[in-house]
Amino acid sequence: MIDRDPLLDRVIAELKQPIEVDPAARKRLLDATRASPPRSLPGAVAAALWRRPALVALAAAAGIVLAVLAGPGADEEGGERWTTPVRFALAAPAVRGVALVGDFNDWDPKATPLEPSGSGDEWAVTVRLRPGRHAYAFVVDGTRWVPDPTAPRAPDDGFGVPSSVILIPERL
Amino acid sequence: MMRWTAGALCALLLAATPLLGQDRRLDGRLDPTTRRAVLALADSARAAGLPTEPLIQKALEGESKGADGARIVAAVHALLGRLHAARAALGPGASEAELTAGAAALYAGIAPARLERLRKASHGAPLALALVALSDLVQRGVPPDTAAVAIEALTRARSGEAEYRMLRQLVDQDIRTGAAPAAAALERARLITGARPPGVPPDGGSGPQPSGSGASGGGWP
Repeated sequence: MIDRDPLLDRVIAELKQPIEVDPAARKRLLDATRASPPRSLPGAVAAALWRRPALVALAAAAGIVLAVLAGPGADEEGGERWTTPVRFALAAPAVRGVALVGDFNDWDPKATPLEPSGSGDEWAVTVRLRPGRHAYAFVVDGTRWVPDPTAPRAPDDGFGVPSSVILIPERL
Repeated sequence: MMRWTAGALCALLLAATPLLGQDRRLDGRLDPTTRRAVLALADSARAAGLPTEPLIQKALEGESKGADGARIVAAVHALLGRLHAARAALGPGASEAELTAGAAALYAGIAPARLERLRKASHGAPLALALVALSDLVQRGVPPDTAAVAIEALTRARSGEAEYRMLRQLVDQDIRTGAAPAAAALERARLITGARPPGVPPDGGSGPQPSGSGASGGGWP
């Protein structure tokens, strides 16, 4: 058996003594708590959800509704990581303007105008596309629809205006 | 409290259900009747587990091209039918790109049985590239069955993006110089897959290179 150091025994005995507390300390503590700034709204909401688990489900359902209301294009700004930059170009001398339309810009002729090159013979624009099959076309001078002469052709689209196809592979 | 919360939760989810069938992109682009019809078709697609975005985009494409409401609804309805048929031919695991490319191939005149043959020939490899090339050949005048045979040869040879691009460029060049589209497709497919006919150089001649126009940057073409 090992003899214990008497100093250690005295320290242990001292630590076992009850601590005398100032009788006014409890009141001061409560007063300080009441005087502290109110909890922020998110914090209060989080605390309420923590106390009521059913509200968590309700909040999740509300999130679904908001996501649906935001629409499928809501993450387009932040989804750059999953897109591929693609340069579209058309040789079109002596025209006033060229726009790119396709299923990546809701076929909006105002959404993606092409910029003329220095000589003005070529018009080009670079857009970021998600993986998948995309149909597109050029609109020259706001009225004339032109398929991309170097791209695979899409079958007649049902509207009598030809389109082209580009396939963006999945990124690993 | 629990009862109130459960009730509110159910009400919220019920309210959200019809919202799933809405798409704000159609607001202002389609008249109310056309919009309702398109959304109903999109709901039908969703219920069948088919992608809805191609249908929405078809409607927006029609509006942008100046089609009237009846024509837009007819085009969207026809596309939905082709998506169903494409999935039946390509299998339930087909990707959205494969389904839309398959639907386009069906529109071009490819028989569903040909799509099934392509799927089997691919041994599970992605098929979208082959399906896009297939539709392109038909658009260039190659008869659908002949185009399917040529693309099936490339698929069996596990061809990649470069081979499909070469096929398109060479067939296009041959047709421009007077070759029959069907013969051009078969000969070029044989050349690319390695079964070179006598007298044909290994590179098959220089096809037209994309220059001055076209799309580039990681996709196909």
